Amino acid sequence: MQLFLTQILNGLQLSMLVFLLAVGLTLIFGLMNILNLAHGAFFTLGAYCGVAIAAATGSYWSALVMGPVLPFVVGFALQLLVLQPLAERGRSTHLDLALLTFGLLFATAGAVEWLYGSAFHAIPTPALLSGHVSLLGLSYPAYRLFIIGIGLAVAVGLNFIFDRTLIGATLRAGVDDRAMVTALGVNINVLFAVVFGLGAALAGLAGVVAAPLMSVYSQMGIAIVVETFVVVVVGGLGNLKGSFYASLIVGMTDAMSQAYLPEVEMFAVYALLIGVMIVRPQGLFGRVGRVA
Amino acid sequence: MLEVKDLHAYYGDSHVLQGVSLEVGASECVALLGRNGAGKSTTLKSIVGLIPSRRGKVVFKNRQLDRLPTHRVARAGIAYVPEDRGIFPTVTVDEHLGIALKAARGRSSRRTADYVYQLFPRLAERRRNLGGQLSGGEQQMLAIGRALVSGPDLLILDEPSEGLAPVIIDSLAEVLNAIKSEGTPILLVEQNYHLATYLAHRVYVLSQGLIRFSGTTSALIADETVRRTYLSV
Repeated sequence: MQLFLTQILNGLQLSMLVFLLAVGLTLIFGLMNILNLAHGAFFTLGAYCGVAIAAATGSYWSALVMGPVLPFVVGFALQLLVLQPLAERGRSTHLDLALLTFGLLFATAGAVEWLYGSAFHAIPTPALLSGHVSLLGLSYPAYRLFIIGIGLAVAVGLNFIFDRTLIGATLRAGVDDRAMVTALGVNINVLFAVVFGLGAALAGLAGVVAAPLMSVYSQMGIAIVVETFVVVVVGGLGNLKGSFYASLIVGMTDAMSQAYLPEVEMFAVYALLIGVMIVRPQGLFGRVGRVA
Repeated sequence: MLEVKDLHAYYGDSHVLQGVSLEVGASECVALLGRNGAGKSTTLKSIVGLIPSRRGKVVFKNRQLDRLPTHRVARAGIAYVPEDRGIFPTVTVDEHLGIALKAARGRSSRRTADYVYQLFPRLAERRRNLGGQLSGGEQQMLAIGRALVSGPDLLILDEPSEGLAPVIIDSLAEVLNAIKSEGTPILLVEQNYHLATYLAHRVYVLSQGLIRFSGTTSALIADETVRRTYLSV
């Protein structure tokens, strides 16, 4: 029972980390239909920014706040200056973008390795969160609970922005009928670039948040990108709530298989993907008509 | 107000507009008529920059608009209602107006959402509904209201009567007539000959990408040859 509860919490924590990555990709790939295999690169970028800032300032909190800044800027610029002009020239099929962003993913790993070497890094857990909290008769690391909290806060915040604000409405409108939004006087290219940057910043945030728990190394983004796509596709393309639930399903599947069926851990998530694709190709929470 | 000179546009290899020239003066309602495929919608899309024109000039209030991206054309004061109405299925009625109002925030002539709700009381009842839940008539009201809320210096309408029941077309005609009387210039593409001649001061007739007739509405009504040849009315 103790193990089971611990695994539930571990699964939740993993789910929220996966969610931070997947929700950005849901915005970028699911909603705006920009295939972005480089999403993992922003995870790496955020983690290394966090490591550098934490080393320079000695503060985890500075790293948490400033780590996502560079991923935002790079994501914004990538969309506005590279991907958008390519789309205008008709070079933005999924194959075009897959090649470009796959290249970027590896180029980022290479650049990071060139700058920092292939050693493993970490950010020390902040003192405030380094202890354990007793919960349901368990002693559970406070930092892991903090990750769960961040994930929930991002989910609630994004949901509010998307459903209740004018910026969210403009984004929905832009996805529905992009040309019409521009005919109202909205510079949709800038809005889409901001959203791309926001998705990248959330991946960067995931990188900083993960750094005290997992090792920071140059290939970390490559390892995570496939799992992130699994979440986006299982959740249904472009569905924010879907990506939240799918993150829970994927995170729990991972955590539970690790604990109880370690021999299937490697492929449990992919088996889930295949199952979903057979039964509901539009994803568990997706609208009919939009298929990956 | 608006001056279009020798506009050429292509869809792929097909030369859809072969030198269209037209003008809309201050407080004037101008109709662009012609059969299906004559290039009417293409003319409107080229003016607002949704289709790139390959040659020709679009001048609006002494500013050259061709080569400008569509959002800059809109900010110059041109509001466009497309043939399919361009209503966003996942956006509420309130939000439709909010997006248009926000995009028009530098314009002194901009109106309020309440202006639109007074013009179309039906929309006020449906303000929290999504665009996808509206009837065809309500969508057309919203499309026109959304265009008007920015307080445009020119209103461009592509087939506003298409797909609407006759009784709805009648009330639409009254609203458009009121907008015209307020002095907002209108450039109108319309298949409904009666609606077009009811509203327009002047008419252009387009066929195969060229203007074949230009004159006052009464001149068109009197010219049976043009009506028979290009409009079948």
